[in-house]
Order: sequence, then C-alpha cells, then structure tokens
Amino acid sequence: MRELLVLIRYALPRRKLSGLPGFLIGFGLTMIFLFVLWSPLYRSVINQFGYEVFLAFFSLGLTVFSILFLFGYVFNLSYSLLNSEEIEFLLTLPLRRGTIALFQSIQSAYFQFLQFSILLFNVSFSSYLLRDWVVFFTGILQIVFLMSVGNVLSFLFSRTLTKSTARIVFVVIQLLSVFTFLLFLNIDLVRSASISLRFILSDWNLFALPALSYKKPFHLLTSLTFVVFTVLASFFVGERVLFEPVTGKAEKKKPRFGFLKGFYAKDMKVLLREERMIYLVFYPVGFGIILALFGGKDDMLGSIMIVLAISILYNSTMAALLWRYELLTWPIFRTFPADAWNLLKPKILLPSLLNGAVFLAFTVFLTLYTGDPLYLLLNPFVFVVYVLSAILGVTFLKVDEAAKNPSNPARIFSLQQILLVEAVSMGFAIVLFFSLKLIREMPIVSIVGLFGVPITFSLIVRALKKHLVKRIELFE
Amino acid sequence: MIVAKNLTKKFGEFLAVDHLNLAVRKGEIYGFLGPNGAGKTTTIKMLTGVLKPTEGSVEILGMDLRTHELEIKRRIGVVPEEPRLYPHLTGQEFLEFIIDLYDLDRHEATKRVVELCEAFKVDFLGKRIGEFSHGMKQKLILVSVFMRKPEVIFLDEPTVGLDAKSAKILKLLLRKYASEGTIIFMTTHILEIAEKMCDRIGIINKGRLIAEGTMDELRTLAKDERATLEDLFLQLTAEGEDIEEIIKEL
Repeated sequence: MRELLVLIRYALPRRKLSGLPGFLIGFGLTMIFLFVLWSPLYRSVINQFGYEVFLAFFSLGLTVFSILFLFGYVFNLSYSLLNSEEIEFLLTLPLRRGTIALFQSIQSAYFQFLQFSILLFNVSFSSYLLRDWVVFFTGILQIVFLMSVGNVLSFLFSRTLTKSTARIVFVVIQLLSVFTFLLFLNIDLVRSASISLRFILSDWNLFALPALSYKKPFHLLTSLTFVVFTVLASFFVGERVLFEPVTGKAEKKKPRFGFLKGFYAKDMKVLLREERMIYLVFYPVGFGIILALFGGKDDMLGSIMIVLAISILYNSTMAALLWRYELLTWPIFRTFPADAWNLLKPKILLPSLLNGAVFLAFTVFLTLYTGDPLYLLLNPFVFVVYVLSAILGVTFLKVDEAAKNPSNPARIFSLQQILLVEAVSMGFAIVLFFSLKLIREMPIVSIVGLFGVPITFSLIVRALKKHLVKRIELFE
Repeated sequence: MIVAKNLTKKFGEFLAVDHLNLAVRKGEIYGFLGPNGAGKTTTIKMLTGVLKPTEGSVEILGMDLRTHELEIKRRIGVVPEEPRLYPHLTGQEFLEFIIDLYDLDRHEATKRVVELCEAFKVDFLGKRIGEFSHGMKQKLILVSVFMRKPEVIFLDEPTVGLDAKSAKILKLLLRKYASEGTIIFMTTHILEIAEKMCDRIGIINKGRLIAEGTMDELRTLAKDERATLEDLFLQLTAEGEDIEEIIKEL
C-alpha cells in the first residue's frame, strides 16, 4: 500500500489542476452536467410510465454503460500493461507486480471518466428517485465488481493481445460510448422499455443487479459475493502479470498507398498509425449521422454545420500533429534534398483529403436519406475549408515550443488557437453555404460570395505559405 | 554472487537468449559484450527481474529471483541503456521518489546525493526531466543508484552520453565499489573500456555465451597472445573475416 501511495504521489502525470482537488472538480462538474441533461428524462419516465418501466429503463442504462465501461477499461488497461517504458523502469524497483498492475488500473479508470460518471449518476439518481439505499449500495458494488472483473480480464488479455490491437479496440469503444450516449438521449422510451423488460431485466443479467435489488434486496449480497470473489481473483492474477509485449508474426505486407511517394507516403503512414485517428476521422460524421437521423429530414443544415465545426478542428489538429512529428525529428529534414514547401504540402493535403473523403461519404448518406442530391455540391467547397483549417493548424503550432516539448504530444492547441481556427474556417463555410442557399433569391450576393471566398482563400494561403516557409528556413 | 543457470528467453518463435550460464563473484567487474541484437539487454532484463525467463533460473546474493524478487531488487541497482524517467518530475523530485520508494534514511541519502552531484557536476536538479539531455538523465540515474550503495550494480552501456570527465569518474567509482565488494555487471560497446576495467569478460552471440574469462584466458582461447579485445571479439563472433572484403566491395 505504501508503494502504491508513493507511485500515486510521484508517478501520475501532472496537470495544471492536479491531484484529488482537480479530479473532484472535474467529477463534480460532470455530475452537474449529467443532472441537468438527464434528470428531467428520469423524472418523466417514473412519473409517466411508473416504476416497472423505470426499472427497465434503469437496467437498460446500467447494462449498456456497464458493458461500455468494462470494454473500454479492459482494452485500455491491457494496452498499458504491455511493457511500456514506464513499466520497464518500475520493474527495476522493489515493487510488487500486483502494485504496478494496480497503479496501471487506477490510470485506466481515469480514462473511463465519462462512462464511470454516467454509471454513478445512473445509480445514485435512480436510487434517489426510488428512495432505496439498497439500490445505491448495490450500484457502488457493481462499479467495484466491474473494475475487478476488468482487472482480471486485462491481466489475461495482456498475455494475448498485441499493443496496437488493444489500442485500436479501445478507441473504437470510446467512439461507441459517445454514440451510445447520444442514442440514449434520443431513445424511444416505451419501445426500449418493453425490449429491456424482456431481455435485460432478468436475474441472469449481472449488470442489472442494482435495478433488480429494488424488488429483491438479497441481490446486495449477490453483488457483495461477486465483488469479494473478483477482487481476490484480480489480486491473484495481478501478481502474475508478465508486462511483456506480445509479438505478432512479422508477415511481409504489400505496401499500401504505393502511389504515394516521399513525404506523402511517410506522412500517410504516420496518420494511419496514429491511434487517435479513428476517433478524429469518424467522430464528427458519426455525430452528424445521429443528429440527422433524430432531427428529421427537412433541414440537414444543422447537422452539416456541426459535422463541419468538429471536423474542421480535427483536420487542423491532424495537420498540426503531422507537423509536430516532423519537428520531433528535427533537424533531420535539413539533411534531405527538399525545400520547406515540399515538407509542408503533405501535412496540409493528406488530412484534408482524408476528411474530405469522409465528408463525401456523409453527403452520399444525406443524399440517400433525404433524396436530395444537392448535398453533393458542398464537397469541393468543404475541401477548400479543410485545406484552410490545415494551414491554420500548421501555422498555429509554434515550431520552437513543439520541438522543445515533445513530452506532451497530445496537447496540440491552446483554447485561443482552437477558437481562431473555428472562427476563420467556419466563417468561410458559412459564407459559402449561404451563397449556395441564396443562389436563386439573391444571385448577385451569391456570386460575390462564391467568387469572393476562393479569391480571399488564395490570398490567405499565399500569405501563410510565405510566412511558414520563412519560419522553417530560419528555424535551427 | 550472480548465478544464471540455463537462462533462456523466447519472444514468440525468436530465441533471444539460449541456455546461458553465468557466475559473477563478489567484488568482480564483469563485462558482458556482444554484437547488436546478441541478447545482452535481454539478459540484463532477466537478471534484474524486468523480464521473466522462459527457462532457467537466476540467483543473486544467494537468493532465487523467482521467490525473492523484491528483496533482491532492494539490494541491487540498475542503470538502463536509455533511462526513461518521469518527464513531469524535476531531478530533485525524482530522487525524493527513489528515497521514498526504498525507504532510505533521508539525511544520509541527501548527504550522498550532494557528494555525487558534485562529482558528476549535476547542477540541474531543479529542472524538469522532460528538459534533460540524454547525458543529464544518465547522470541522474547514476546518482539515484549510487546514493543507495547497492550490493550489485547492473549497467547497460553506462558511458553513452557522458562527457569524458564524468565517464572517467564513473569508471574510477565502479573500480572503488568493486574493491569494497560490490558486484558490477556491465555491457559496453567500447571495447577499450571493457579491456581496461573488467576483471572478466563474457561474450554473447546469437543468444549463446560463446566465450568467457580474463583477457589472458580469452587470448589463450583465441590462440593469439598479443591480441587486443577488439581482435578477440571480432574473431570470436566471426565478424572479423568479412570486414576487409566488405570494405573492398564498398
């Protein structure tokens, strides 16, 4: 225990608002947010449909978010157990393997903050509405049960999964969590309740024990038994964790994207191997599809604008990310026979093409869903906006800071820079959209907009290009 | 003593270390040499409990590593080839972390730290490790190990990144510790260092220990009484014969 406390004190990454106060403030704010968002829904279910339907609704939430928490936790922990450099160092110190594993599990639980908060809100607010403390305590035991089952599974998975597989599955689960959260907000209550009554509110559903304990309080003891058993199992397995990478068979792979050469080929590989890429590329469109499905077919502009607002920021983040990776190897570029613009072009074009392709798929979906092919016309203009946001991303990433501070590659932009990227890019997007929308009613205004934007755009690109190239040439 | 019996490590189908047998005595400096990818670092990782052997056993200071892992780790020190230390801590905070973890006497440890920092010219303890160069990290990890005066010290390429003066101090310090009974197990690619410093040398190639002994014993083995360690190394690892041919072709 002393060793674990020393590790928590020194080895946890520090943020501006660190430690317990920072965690509690973040946690408190999330709970307030969930309360504002969901408490009317919870109250309306219990008041309109009664206790039976509420229990089904409660158990549905418990089951879905328990599964998501468990999956996310397991794959994140499995990933972190696979012999990272930190673990390798910790293994040279007099620390029990179980202590190192437990320390890693605390860090993994932190990454499941959203699912953890939702589960806790679900349990505490439902027990408050049901006026039943047994439900609350069974819910708390449920969370401990999930973490200890997660520990056992992760310790076992860390012997079989490769690092990259674990990471990709983790990102996909994170993405699914957000979409499930959105679907849960828009769910058809009566239909879902009847489904959950049949399939989810059953004694065999371990994830629904807190809901079941309302009618059958002995499930508090069932939960306690599971917790004791799984906690002991996790300690037992934790002492036997190997912390060694799983080596996959090195097969000769055919080179993908063989048509790309030089910096383009290198940067494409960097992009595709970046673990956050699945999230950055698919989250905005997934979000947009959910909004389109629940928002009605009449006006898709809202969902398009939201997709754009998010994907513009992610596009500039991807460009900045590529630029940052380049700077981490600086000054190796100086030894290559290439100029600064050759170096920059793929950083700007590749993320824009990738996001442009995903946006194209989104407009195809909108066309099929609404039967209106006009959405396809947006694509060339959106691509232009992406290119602009990528240039802004590369411009805003301070060359000297990024090169000197590689310890935190996850943090790309400051809040001011994010707002500026959004303001400039969305400004262009809005002018373009309204120019298209008003083409019949106000043709002159539209033509000014449609021609004005590319001219302004090319002037900005020209100025930024000059600025960037000069900055790279001067950078030592 | 460090004793390794039939030490073997497999990564999937790849055999990194193949039934290695070693015995390093008290007060001895043992140099562990080999070409790139020969299995040196994997061996050190198994000897220090970072990796679990696929087969075989390790005994350090009379204790089996499988059953006395923590007790052994409290009494040994490890200087890895590339020290990956917490970038968010300052040098001072890292040393405090080690003091807390090993439950050292704070007063004694601080006194040792001051002496060692003076010797290695460490005047950057207030800076964050994230801003350190490789050499600075190397000096910090050396201070953190030496301040504990461990009974066995494992060093993987310890002079890489150190300036000439610090490297010289390190070599003299290791010799002094060995004369006081400390066991030193080190790998290096700088064969002159191994030749001058080590009491005995083991050469590993493709996971197998192919030669072991003092310089004289190695010369006898190679049947060349005037050979340097570089000659012996290249001859024993069968890498010497092709060099002239390679140069000609280039």
